[in-house]
Amino acid sequence: MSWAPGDHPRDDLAVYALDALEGAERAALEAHLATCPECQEDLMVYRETLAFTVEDEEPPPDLWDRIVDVIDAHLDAEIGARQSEVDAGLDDAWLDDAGLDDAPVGDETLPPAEPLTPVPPVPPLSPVPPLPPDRRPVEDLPGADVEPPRHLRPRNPRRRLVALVAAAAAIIAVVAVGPAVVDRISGDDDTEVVSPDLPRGTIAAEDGTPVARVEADEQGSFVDLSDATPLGADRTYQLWSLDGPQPESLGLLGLGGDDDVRVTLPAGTTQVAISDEPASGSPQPTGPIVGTGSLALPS
Amino acid sequence: MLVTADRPPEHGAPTDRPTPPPAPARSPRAARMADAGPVDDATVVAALVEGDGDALAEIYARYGGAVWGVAKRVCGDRTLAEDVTQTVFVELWRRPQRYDPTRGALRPWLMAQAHARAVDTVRSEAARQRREDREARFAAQPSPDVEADVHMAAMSDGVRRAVARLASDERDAIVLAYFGGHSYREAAELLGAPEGTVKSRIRRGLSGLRRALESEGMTS
Repeated sequence: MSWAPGDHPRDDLAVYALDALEGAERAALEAHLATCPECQEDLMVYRETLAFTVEDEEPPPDLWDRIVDVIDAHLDAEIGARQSEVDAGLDDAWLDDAGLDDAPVGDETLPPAEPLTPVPPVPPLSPVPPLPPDRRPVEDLPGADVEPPRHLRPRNPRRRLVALVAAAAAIIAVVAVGPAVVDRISGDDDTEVVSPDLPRGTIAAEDGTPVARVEADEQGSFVDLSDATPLGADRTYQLWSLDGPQPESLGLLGLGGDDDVRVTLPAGTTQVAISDEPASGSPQPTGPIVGTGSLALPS
Repeated sequence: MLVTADRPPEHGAPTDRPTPPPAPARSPRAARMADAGPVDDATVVAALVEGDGDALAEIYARYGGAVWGVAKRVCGDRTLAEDVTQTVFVELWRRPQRYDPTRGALRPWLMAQAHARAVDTVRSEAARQRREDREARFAAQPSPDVEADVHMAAMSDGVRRAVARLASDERDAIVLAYFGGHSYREAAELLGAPEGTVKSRIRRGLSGLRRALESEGMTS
């Protein structure tokens, strides 16, 4: 559905403001909204009106801690994973030589690489997520106004972010100069290096339908989600170890699709599951378990 | 293409953190903001975009209660509401540039994000059973009026008076959709009214609600 110039879907806009419009009607309204300042203004007024109808309430006292835990985990994952990529493929001195430690945060300039073959222009990096907030009360921190947040000590937060930028740059550089790496990871190369120390297995739904496969290459374990039903943007697949007394999260796997997802499995992981969770993940499974599986070392 | 899994939180692991404060602590940066005088929301969000994670603590201190409030009202379940609130703030941290200060104030924008996620949650299959259990506490088959009354009971006096000024069919349509998380089609079915009629009632009702809130002195 579309509307003529000067014609506005006023009823649908009001329904949309209540999140009560679905499917094709919602998509059509959003398409109109993207180009109509008048309807954007009306939506703003509707939202302001609705906001007045809800009282603020005191959130649970531990909720802020949970939020910071998730953010910490995101940062640790990005740094750890990207650092391991760097360690695997690049000399650390390369980063120092590139002068990245002195780069301002958010600087998207890439270091000079030494391409093995002519390479296409390197795409810009995604914006680096900002640092997580400090949850500690100021009064509990002597000299708090100069002390970096707990989760960043003893490392300098800016150096940490710079490391993130550098690691991301390194990954892009590796991909740019080595398309064979990508081919091997995607399983198109018969010369794939087998990693006998890493377990593999299929994760299947209750009816036996394969949902995902845990695989491994010379760089470690990864999950192939090409058989999983793609999720909406507000959800994520999450991988769990079932070997302990309660499920232990092994990582957020994203929305599903053709991209394999690198994971780190604790030694001895044998029983795993995948669940459908809110986009920020969950400390314990809350969404439906979409599949379970057993992992074993290749014979 | 190979991507890397987001590392999960290590819940339950030993931690060197002190006991968290009962309310979000103002970070050192936020404290400096406060010392320098009132800082508007756009400035705080701009700090977040620039990579100042402390700005998120400030935003949570300002609007965590509003996000939690709308999430709890729509979800009707603390666990689900916690997930919604967490998602809203983690998403704000990940993509703060999604908020455009030229398109309205931060509080209603955050509440709209929370409402959209809360509605997705209550419509999901996993949440449906909990929701039905909750509704069963009020009536085996709650009428639209009963459901609207339940939601109105949670409103402040001024808002309840403003909502009560609306025509009952407009009020029921808005309350069922906004607080009940029903699509307009579901609301039409519950109300036994044509879908197009319900759409019109929602638009008239929202406009009337704005005027009623203004007359209650609640929109300034």
